[in-house]
Amino acid sequence: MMLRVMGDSHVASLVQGWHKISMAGIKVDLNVSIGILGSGVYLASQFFLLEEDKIRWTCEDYAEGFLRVSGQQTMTHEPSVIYGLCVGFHTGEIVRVPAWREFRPWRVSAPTLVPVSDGVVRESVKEYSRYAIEFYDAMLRLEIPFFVIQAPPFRKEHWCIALEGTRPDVAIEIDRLYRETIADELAARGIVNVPPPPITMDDKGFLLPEYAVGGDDPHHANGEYGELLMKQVLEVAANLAGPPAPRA
Amino acid sequence: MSVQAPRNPYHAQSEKAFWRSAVSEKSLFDIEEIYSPKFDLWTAKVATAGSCFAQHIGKALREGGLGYLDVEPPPPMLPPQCLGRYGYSLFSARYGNIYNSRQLLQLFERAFGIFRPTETAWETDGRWADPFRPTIEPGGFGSHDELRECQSAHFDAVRKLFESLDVLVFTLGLTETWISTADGAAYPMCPGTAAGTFDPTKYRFVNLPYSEIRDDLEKFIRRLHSINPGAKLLLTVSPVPLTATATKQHVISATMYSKSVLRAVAGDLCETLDCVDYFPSYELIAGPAARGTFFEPNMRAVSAAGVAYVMGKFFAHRPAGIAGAPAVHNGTEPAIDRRAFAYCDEASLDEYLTR
Repeated sequence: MMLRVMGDSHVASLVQGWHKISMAGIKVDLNVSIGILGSGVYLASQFFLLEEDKIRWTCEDYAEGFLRVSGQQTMTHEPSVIYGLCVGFHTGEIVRVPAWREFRPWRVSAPTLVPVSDGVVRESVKEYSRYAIEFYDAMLRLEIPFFVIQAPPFRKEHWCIALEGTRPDVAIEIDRLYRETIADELAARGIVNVPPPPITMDDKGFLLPEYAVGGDDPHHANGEYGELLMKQVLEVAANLAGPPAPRA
Repeated sequence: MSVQAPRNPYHAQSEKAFWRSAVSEKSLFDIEEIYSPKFDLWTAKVATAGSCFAQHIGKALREGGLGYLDVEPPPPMLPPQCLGRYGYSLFSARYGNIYNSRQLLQLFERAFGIFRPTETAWETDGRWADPFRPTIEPGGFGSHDELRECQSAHFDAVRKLFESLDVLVFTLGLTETWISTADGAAYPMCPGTAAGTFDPTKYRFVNLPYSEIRDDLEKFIRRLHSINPGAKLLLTVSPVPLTATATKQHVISATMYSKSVLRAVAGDLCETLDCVDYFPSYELIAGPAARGTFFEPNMRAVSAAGVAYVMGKFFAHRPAGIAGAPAVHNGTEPAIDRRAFAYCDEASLDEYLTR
């Protein structure tokens, strides 16, 4: 059975994590192919087309990324292939909206900001994610086996908090609602999703510093994070793939 | 020697006072002088509230460049197609449809803590609704705490609105309402329809009579002037008929009764109070001169052309040189979206028609 892991830029930590697992000689009953499709910003617009028996990429970056990972131009149902997609949990795009310095999710106590209901946040998330959700639906329609991998926990160092003034408690609550909304959409479709390993988060839900990419990147997780998550990914994939075929 | 005809008061009347010259011999679109503003609207801070027809007025005022107040603007991240369903950008605050005088008065009193109804939230299957704006959150709020937090912010906004407005355009829609038997709280919808559970021991039907509507509005004006002495009220009556009546009357009779009473109160207040004016949207749409032209085929919903016609009469009085004049077509009418959809809670009563 082949596992293809792909998605937005957060796949980079999974690539590093998979490298660590491979180097450690850990036995895995799956052939793994892993790589980045392209930037998550393309998920907010039409990035694919569902044709009769295949998904064609309309986003050039994703087409190239898919070719690199799969060796194929289009995505089709292949009996021995399962996909792990890091697509649809790109929470940063909603969290960093400047209006979150005037509005707040209602649970956050901040009297100077106007509360909005969970429903309002969920509508925003669903609108932003509509192409990702349509993509899941297209895969379901073609009966392509897959599961979804969440993006890493939000980072306190993100520029919307550090530089632009969004409150950390507002940011993390939007991130939580975002994940909850997409997880509900997936659950309604019977799609499994893999959340971040709890050990990588602080008590508020932010990514712990030891799992963050260093330098001036305030957004991504590192290979240690990727290794922990990749172990979960492999476990989920193995469960969905079923027992390995007996060797002759 | 010529004999002068006897003089009487009608000799002094202008053409608009005579049906033949003002209506019969004119095209519907040439009817003039039906509205003479009593006070300045063009440089004022204007707010809207009322029945669903008030949404059309608010939209036209907003697009027409008036100083339109919206104290609860939508969060920019909410998709445009969701705004109306969440009660944003329909009126000057997210109070939903205010169909009658009692609701308007109690909105003020609830916002300023003068009236504290015993029921402030209705729970059904784990979802919570605000009894006074039951459709403001599609599917209901997830918890009582969420409802209370959003309700509190709403009252902050309503207080700000009443304190800052110069003119409130209020569209009277209905005389029929449902009230709490415990404290008289008036609901926009019968409990058990849009939200809540109907219990005849807790709620009763009231068809507000002329005297109570007038008292409500006079009391509202006194309350408003206590915090905003210069505030003015521009009353209109919605031409939209009742979806359903809770009386024993035929819905046509119930509609005519309701609109007649509302029109009479509005006219009376306009005649007697300097701070109240009346804009005849009801007459323009539902009067015989319109021949039903501006109703959609269901004879209830007002067409986009009807809204444009009415607002054209409104904007016809805008003084030259006032900024933000609405786009004009056919001479006088502001260009308005061809779709004249309005969010009307009362329209959902149609679901209860059983044949």
